[in-house]
Amino acid sequence: MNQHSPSTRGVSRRGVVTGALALLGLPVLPAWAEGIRNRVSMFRRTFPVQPDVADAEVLVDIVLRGRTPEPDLIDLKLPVLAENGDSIPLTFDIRCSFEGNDWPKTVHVFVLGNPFPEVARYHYGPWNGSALTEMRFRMLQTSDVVLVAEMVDGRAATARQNVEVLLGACGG
Amino acid sequence: MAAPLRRIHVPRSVKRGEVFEVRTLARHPMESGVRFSTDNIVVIPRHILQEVKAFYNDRLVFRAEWFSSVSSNPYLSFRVKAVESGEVRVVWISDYNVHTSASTMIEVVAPDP
Repeated sequence: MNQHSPSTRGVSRRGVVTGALALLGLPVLPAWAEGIRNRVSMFRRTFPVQPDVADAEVLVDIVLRGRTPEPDLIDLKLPVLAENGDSIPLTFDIRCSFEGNDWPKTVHVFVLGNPFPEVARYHYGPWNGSALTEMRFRMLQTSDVVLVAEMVDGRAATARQNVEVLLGACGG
Repeated sequence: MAAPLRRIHVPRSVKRGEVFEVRTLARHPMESGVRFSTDNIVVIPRHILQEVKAFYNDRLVFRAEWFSSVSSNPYLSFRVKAVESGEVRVVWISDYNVHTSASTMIEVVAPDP
């Protein structure tokens, strides 16, 4: 008596899975980005992956969500040349007043030449007063480092710098 | 003697409304999960600190999400605006949901007239 075929049910299995993921608070990738799913740190556990700069650019595009980034909002301080990829110091600051709607909600750090290009996300609030942040990260090979800042009023900004690495870190 | 597992440093006293720096250092291998063991067969499982939260008088003021590219023994510094004297506490959360923390006190004095 069961005459229902999957196409007439109105809810696809993919839709159910995506909805469940969204309910769990996990990030949902658009269909065209499913190919890079294994590159997103949130989904992965332990397996080796080869680095791919083109895939990493897709990740940056996902964060930008089609917004045109402003070029000169981020102050980026990075070495141009690093002898050892194990610990590369990064200092960044966002040029904003931290008053009203002028503060960054999230700053994403990407290293395009790493197998898992996402390095870190930093979340701020108006109580920070300044977004000046310092950290250290690993790099496998010479590549671009991209920072994406998402301002609370919906603007986005990027900064990009190439870092030459003489001796890459294991993995990354 | 080995260095402490988690360290935090803030200035001893700041003026109200001033932005101060919180410097933190954790001792952790930050195993990235893409490295092979010495026999080149087994991938060493990922074991990193995946989240850092900072509380100023029990109010969340800063949050960081870390992924496998963060270097071992990770250093992190960020800024917070001084409001009142109290405790600055930073909590590190590992892949296995182990919470470790370090805390320190800060004294906020009245600004110059």
